[in-house]
Amino acid sequence: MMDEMNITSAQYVRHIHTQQIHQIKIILDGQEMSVPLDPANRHYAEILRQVEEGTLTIAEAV
Amino acid sequence: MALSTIQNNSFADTAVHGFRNIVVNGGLIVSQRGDYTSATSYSGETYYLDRWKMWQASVSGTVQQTTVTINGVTKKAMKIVATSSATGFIGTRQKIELQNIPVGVNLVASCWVRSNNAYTRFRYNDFGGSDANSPVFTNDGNWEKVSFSIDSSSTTVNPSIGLITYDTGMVSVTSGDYIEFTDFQLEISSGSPTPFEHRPYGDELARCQRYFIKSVNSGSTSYPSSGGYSRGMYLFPVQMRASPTGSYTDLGTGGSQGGTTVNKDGFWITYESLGASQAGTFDWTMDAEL
Repeated sequence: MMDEMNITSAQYVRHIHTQQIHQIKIILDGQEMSVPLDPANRHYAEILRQVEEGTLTIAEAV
Repeated sequence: MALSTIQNNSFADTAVHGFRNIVVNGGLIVSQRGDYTSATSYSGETYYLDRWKMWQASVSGTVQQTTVTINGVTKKAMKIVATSSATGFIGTRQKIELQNIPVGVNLVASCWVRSNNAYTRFRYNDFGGSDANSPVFTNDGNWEKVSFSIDSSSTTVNPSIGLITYDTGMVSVTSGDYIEFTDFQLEISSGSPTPFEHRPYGDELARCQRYFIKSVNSGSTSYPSSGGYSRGMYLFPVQMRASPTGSYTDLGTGGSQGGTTVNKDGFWITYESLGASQAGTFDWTMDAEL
């Protein structure tokens, strides 16, 4: 009964002004989403879980 | 009978007060994500009607916002129907913010339900530090009002409560098996549940928008600067639970999306390469669900 999300890609995104990393762009169930780096956000928590598990790698920002 | 005079017993702990239902959208009246009045195939761990997350294992199913009449009263409900047969489960649950759970008291969950699967029951996770099932319901296809007492004395994480076909593990589910429910309430009580607390649609919608909101009409930027840049800024009608996950779908009226920033209160999006009389237009959703 665990939460499982089908995240097929992930990439860090820089803030348009500060150039600091502030989001992760993901493809979830075929849809592009922008995930803020907020531990209370369920998508961010799942990204961290999948990275820890070794099933997801976050690409560097361009 | 209308209350014409405030009486002392109106203030008593035993009086039935408002704002007592901890569950949001327990009457299944809010459906921001789409029109689910027709049966819609669902995926597990996914939201359809607001705040209700689907439970599913090994069995395909549909979810539907239905209109039912119980004891002469017409109301909205949610119906979950299995469309394949297997050992698994179907159901739905609502995850609740820990800060909204009064720890150290007894709670009672209640709802109207009808089902034809022998194992349909309440199930909670992480209340009082444990998971548990209620006894099974009658499950003869007729509506019944059911309730289940919960000890939340040591709840430490966001718990959930819902309805499921389940036992000590997965159970036999046959295509056509269903769970239909409405008037789901979770309240402080060490005894019987009180009547379902009806809340106005606007109030229930605002509660739902703490967790999810989408554009009703398209978002738009203004006309651009001479460099072709423009920005659309939006404040959410209620502060969201956390910084939400944003989804922005360009509608092709010019330019391209450059960058976004979001927090609990709102977001902005920058468009670039806009022509002199072009505005960037887009649909958006924000998800801060548990």
